Amino acid sequence: MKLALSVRAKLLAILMVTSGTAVLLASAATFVYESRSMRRVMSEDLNSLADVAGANSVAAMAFGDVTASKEILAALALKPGVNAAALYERDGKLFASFQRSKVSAERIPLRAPTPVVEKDRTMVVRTIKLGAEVAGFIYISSDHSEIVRRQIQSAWLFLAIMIGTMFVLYLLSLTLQKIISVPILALANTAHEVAQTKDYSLRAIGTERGDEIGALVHSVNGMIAQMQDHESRLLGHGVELEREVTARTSELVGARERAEVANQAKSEFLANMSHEIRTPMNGIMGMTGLVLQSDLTGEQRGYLEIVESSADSLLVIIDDILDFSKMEAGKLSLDPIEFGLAAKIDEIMQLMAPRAAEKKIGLTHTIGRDVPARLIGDPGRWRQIVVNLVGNAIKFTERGGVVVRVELGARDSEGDTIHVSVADTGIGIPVDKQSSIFDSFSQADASTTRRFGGTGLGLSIASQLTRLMGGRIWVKSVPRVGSVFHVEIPFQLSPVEALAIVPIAAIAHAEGFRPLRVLLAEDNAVNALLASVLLKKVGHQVTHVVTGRKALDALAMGQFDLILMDVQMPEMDGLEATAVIRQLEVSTGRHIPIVAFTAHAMAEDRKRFLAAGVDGYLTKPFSPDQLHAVIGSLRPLIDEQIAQGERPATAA
Amino acid sequence: MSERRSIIKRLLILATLLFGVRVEAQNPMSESQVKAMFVYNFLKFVEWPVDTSAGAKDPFVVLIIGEGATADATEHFLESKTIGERPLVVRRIRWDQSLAGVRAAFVVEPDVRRLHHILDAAAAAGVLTIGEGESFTTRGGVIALLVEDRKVRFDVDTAAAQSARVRVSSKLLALTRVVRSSTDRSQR
Repeated sequence: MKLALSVRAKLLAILMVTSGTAVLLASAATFVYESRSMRRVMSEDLNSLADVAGANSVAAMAFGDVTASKEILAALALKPGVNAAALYERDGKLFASFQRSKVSAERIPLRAPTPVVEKDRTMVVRTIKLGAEVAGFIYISSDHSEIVRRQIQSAWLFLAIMIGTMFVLYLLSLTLQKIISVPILALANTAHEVAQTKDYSLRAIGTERGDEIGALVHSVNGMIAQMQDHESRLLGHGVELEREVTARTSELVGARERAEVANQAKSEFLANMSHEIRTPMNGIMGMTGLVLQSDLTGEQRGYLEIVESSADSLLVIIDDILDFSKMEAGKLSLDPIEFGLAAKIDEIMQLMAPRAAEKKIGLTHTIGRDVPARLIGDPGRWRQIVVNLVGNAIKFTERGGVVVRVELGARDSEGDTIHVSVADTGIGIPVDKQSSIFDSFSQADASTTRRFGGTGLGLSIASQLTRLMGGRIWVKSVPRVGSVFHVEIPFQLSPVEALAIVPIAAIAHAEGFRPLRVLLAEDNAVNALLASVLLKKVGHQVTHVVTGRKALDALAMGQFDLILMDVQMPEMDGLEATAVIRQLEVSTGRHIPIVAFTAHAMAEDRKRFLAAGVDGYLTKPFSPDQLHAVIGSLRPLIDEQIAQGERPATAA
Repeated sequence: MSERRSIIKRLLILATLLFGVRVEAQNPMSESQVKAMFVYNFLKFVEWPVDTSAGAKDPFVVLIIGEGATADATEHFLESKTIGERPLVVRRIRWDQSLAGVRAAFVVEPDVRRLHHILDAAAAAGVLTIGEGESFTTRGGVIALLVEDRKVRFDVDTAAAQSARVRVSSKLLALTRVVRSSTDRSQR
């Protein structure tokens, strides 16, 4: 409110200064005028006084009565300021004179003087007439003390008037300034309040005034109204914006959902492709294997072995492409379980040994003593990485050999790592290609593809899998000398390291000692035939149905020790049938072992199968060994169920 | 002081310019001459009843009754003088002559009886009477000239003036030595 006081004070000051100056000027002018007129009046007064005194002394002069004349002149002393007076005869001779005693300095002129006004005194001379004749002259001298006295009086009066006027002016100004200041203060208050509270519904009062302040108030109110309008429009904009954001968000959510659905579709397509390709491959490989076990001429066996190895290669390529697609789609996931790394490496080496032998190069491997026997990881992915690296090394080595080393690697931030190195004596990789060797579809040069074949995806898949597992991969190579590929992957130790798994080969051998009644539900004739042949070869009894429904019917009519069931079947699929079987078993308390065949090799599929009540599964295409291994692993359960089935029979 | 002196000097020069011609006034006047001047001056301070018959420029008649130095001086002094615009006419006559048309009379009459006669007649005719000696007013005259301390003075009897229907100016009365009234005379 400092500003308010200032406006009020300013108005007050303006009014006071203006009117005060006017009063002062008027007073001063009046004072000057009065001072001047006082002198004039004084001269006139003295003239009149001289005339009267002269008239009074005319007789005294006529009769030469000096005493009487002096008395008349002395009467002039009654008038303040008159210091001297004199009468002169007609001929100018001094007749009588009067002098105020206290003023001795005043000298009486000897002769009649002419009227003179001096600075501090006024002298008049008047002719005394008796009738028409000049009887003599009268002289009066007066000082200006009377004027000064009156001037001082006037000054005091003016001062008093000024003080009084200023006081009245002050009171008036105090009231009058409100005419200006009150609406301005009200306006300022309103503006302040609007700024503080942001309440744009407020309005300043005083628009009814016709003057400029009224116009100002009107303008300010207009501005506030505009601000109110803007604010409400802004609010409207905000609401609109919010609505738009909501709409966009829901659009985005919709788009994301559609994308997810599309992605889902893609995943499903990949899974189906996997299934559709693997199913015929199973037939080719299985049948080729069977034919090779029969009596053949040397020529026939040679051709069939080419078919078998081609099918193997094709399967590897298909697996590579599918894996790569899944990685590109971000669909590849790890399925960590407890496994034995050393056993896994041994298995891979057995697998790769024929290829090395074929090229007449060496393939050796060493496993460090400090490498833990069992650890947590995804054995399938480990296998893929090592197979890819070793396969790659064999492929590009013409002479010499391949050495695989597995040892404990450096400790990194994630913990201990396993370091695998694959060294070859192959063609090597030029330095400028070493950095891009892990990129997709990249081989050292285009001629390499023609010369050595392959998809060029092997290293890329190994690299991506390594990264997925939190590890790193790199290469050191000298062209025409050889390359060393390094992989370092963090791992976690298994809590129960000691527990060893029975080797698959051992199970396979142990599987066939007791013939089983097997129900085979498989709609694909080739696969059904392959499975039947394999089972019958080891002495099992096989009943074949083509749908889940028919499997249920067969189960109702006969006794079975084991069910092999394809997941994808018309009418009723394997999982559905399994669920129904498990439902029925709730009353009997029995549990018939079920093994599922599937082309769905993905981790989430396995979880789905187990949840449905499946005891084991085989991924198509499967080898005879794999089939026997699964049956062997279920042997204790099968035996238990057979025993359970016989007991009530004997009891009955 | 020098300023004041210069002013005085200036005033003296001016006074000389105005009055320097009239040097002969310095000569002292004789007693008779002074009395004659007084007589003339008295005429200026007395008012008469309005005379409707007389014109503004008709002669103003003054009688001189009796003989003596003052009478002579007065006659001489009043000659060729005027009262306003009216010329003064002086007549020397005997005591028993008519006073008709006369305004004032200077009376010298040692005989008391005759003097009473003259004064009564003058009062009746509205004539201002002027004489010499203290006794003049006690015997019925209006103004009496006398000499006191070598100075000419005068007495005025207001009662006599009243009976003669002339009014003596208060200015004149202020200068008189003694003012007598009718009560004074009746006491006597």
